[in-house]
Amino acid sequence: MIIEQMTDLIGNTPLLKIPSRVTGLKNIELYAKLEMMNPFGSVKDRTAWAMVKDDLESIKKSGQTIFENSSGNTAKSLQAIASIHGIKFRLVSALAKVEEQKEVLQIMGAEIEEVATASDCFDPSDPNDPQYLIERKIAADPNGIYFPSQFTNRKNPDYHEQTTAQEILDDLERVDYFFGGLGTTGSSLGIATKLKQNNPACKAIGITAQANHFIPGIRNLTQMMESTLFQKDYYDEIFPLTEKEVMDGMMTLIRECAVLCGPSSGANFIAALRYLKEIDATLDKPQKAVFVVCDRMEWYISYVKERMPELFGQQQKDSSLSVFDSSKVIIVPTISADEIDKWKRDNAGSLIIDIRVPQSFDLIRIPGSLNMPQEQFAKWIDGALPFAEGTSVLLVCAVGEQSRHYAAYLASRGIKAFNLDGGIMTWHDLSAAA
Amino acid sequence: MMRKAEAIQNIETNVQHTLRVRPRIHSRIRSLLQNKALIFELMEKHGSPLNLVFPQNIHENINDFQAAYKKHRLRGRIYFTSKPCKALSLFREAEGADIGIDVSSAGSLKAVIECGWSADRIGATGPKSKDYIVIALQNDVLINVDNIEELKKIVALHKNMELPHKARITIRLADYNSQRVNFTSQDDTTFGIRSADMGWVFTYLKDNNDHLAFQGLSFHASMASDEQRIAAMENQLQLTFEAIKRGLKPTNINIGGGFAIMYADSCQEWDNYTATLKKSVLGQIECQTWNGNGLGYRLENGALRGGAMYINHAPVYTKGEELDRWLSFRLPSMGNVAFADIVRDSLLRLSIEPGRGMLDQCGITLGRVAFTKLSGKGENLVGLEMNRSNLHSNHFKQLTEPLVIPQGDGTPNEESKGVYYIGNLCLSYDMLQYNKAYPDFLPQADDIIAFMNTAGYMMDFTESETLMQPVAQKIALTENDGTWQWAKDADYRRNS
Repeated sequence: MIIEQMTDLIGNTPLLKIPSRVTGLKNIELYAKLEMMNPFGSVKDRTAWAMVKDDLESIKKSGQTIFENSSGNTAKSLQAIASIHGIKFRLVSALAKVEEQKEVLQIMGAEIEEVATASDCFDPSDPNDPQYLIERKIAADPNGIYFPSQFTNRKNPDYHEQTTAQEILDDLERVDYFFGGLGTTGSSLGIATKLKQNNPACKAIGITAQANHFIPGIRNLTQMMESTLFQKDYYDEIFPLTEKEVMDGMMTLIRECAVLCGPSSGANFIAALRYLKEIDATLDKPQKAVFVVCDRMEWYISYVKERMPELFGQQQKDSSLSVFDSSKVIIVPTISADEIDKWKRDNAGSLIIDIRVPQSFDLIRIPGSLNMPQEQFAKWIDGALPFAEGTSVLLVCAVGEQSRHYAAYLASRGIKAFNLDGGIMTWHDLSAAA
Repeated sequence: MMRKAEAIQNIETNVQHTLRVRPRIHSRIRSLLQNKALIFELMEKHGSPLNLVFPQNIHENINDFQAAYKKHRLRGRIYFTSKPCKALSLFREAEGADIGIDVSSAGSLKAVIECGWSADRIGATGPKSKDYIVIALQNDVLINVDNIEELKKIVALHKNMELPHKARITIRLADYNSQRVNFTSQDDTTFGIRSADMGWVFTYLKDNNDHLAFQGLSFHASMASDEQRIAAMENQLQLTFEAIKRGLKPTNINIGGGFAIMYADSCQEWDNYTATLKKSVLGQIECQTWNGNGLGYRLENGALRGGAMYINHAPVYTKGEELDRWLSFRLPSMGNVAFADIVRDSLLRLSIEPGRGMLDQCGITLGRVAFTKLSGKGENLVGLEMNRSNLHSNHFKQLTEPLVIPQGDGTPNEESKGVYYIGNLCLSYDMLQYNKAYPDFLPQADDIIAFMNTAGYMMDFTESETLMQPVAQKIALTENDGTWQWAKDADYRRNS
């Protein structure tokens, strides 16, 4: 298959039938619309393409920069399209929440402006939202900026109606239930519109995050009010989900269906299972349901890490250091700051190890000491040793508390470890006085 | 914070519930509110409005911040920012704790000295008149320098005054640069000296070493998002290290204040309430604000635009928890090391300046009902013997509903009527709150309306004798084993 450019691959995504052993449903067939198979990895490829494709020539000709407000996926798609056409793209967003989305954009060469989110001690006459900020920039430079505005642009739902929904109908002929996450609400609105035209009995279920729960790409209900595309009446039910439920759904798709998807797909899937379970038991004829797999897993690794640290082997294993209680050790071999020279003479080949952070070590240090920052040092001594056995070591920290812990631990293992009493502070005071 | 799934329909059918945002009330204050005889006695003696101050409660806040210092093994000083409330009883009570105090004017500097604070525990900040600088220098108080002119003025005054000590100063930074993040809409600030000018400042500090004892840099980023705060911390540390490398001896790093508190009693109720306010602006439910005021939001082409002009009443992290979180921030430009680790390991002392956070649950404001009436459009108005200068730092920042303390048994608000509290400024409207409240009892003349948690910026920050009406008296109350004692604020003395 030869293609001219990556955007030729947008759309025509497959439908995956989720096996009934996973869904537990007897009468309802559940299908996943694999929007993750779009070339830049998400359902937003269609949104971005729909909004700019007709204007690419004129944007390029007039040298405009595309500005958009996005939490990640739309930005990736726009950056990709802009790159192909030699157009500049600038993202205005409060992105900080999803690290990898930002990093992928940085690799792609996007210019990013982080919106300083207003909080508690602000000037009341200064409400900041990305949409408003972009409009302000446009006002200052009306000809230089092209703003697709995915939250308000009708092309967003219209294109999903024409393509995504049509593809689903081409494959299934008729759909009884549709599940879509609510972000801009463009894709779910477009798809639901078409499916309902085709089958007026089709139920559309919108998925949101519960208040104070963060699901990337899905807004909570109060945030929904900020999208003009949102038409609440269009949904037969709105399903607020917690982060935990979403993670469960995502893990099932990944581990049982090999759909390597992100959290919003998990949200759509788990909402479908919940919603359909009771209905399925009352049915006597087959029905069809569709949910959207919005994007891919890789952009959410830090999000998953934060919520499921156990997957990454970060649980405390009972190593000898982690269970060592130095508060029970009464006598730890200790050297005071004025004894350092004598200690060095008495212990040939000894090491002074400073476990403070490198920036601080760089500022003030005992001559001849080595820097092994605590975070690494703790890992290094938990088992093997970063110095030869039989070496005498003097441990140094800021005030002599953390170093005492490690000195006590090493001493318990028979190593000639000493603690510098009072840490670098006492040593520093002493050398300042001298 | 995991919450049980609930269908959105529930929220809508149970509208009354979502319109309430009840205040968090300290158990000690709750017990006082049940002592109606004492409350009415105090109101009778001292008039309306009346501010009640609870000096004992400040210790819980101090302990909360100290716990974060302890956890991160940090040395340094917590400066109680005196600015948000003028109550002398709080200054006197806090003096007994192991903290410092931060003043913002010549008057407040004199007041805290009179309250027994020794000069080595006082920091003088804010915009400064010549008099203010002179008093600070005379008393050997640490001066947080706001601008370059002030720095030169301090040196000139110090030369003339022939003092036995150098002028102890910190330099306040105005901004932060970041090579990592490009911030849009970074708010400008009227405070501090630009980072770009710090090279000149460091040279000046060295040249005037005979007069100045430079102790470190301060930066206050209360309005900041985490990403901004991290960038500010990096900037502040990098400049501190530069100062050290240039031979100066900064020993302190001051990260200011901005610690949130819980105004609402329940996160859930607050979340529902803000959703309700937004629906009100969108016109989906009956209007919940005076004359449709959007409290910062507006309806535009069918969507909600703008941003909240009210404070977050139910933040996820408050006071010491928030400090702990900040101290744990890892700084990407500095090898991803935690902020607290760099500060401690570099032998720097951390200063913070909590204001609002230090005054959590330290005061309430009472107003007597003068009359009730219906507005032109039929809204229930409750006229109080007080006005917005007695309650507001910024308009409509505080939305929690006040408590109604009925003189008699009270009339339960069985039909859940909404009311607006208005003041006595003889303006076409003097709203004490712009949002409608749904009290448990329908207020009547001579009842008392009690606004909770007002010590931080609310009770006296903007008070004025406008219309020749006196400002509120302050009464300090202490409780021991259920027995209450009270004194006029100025007469309060700490139990030693």
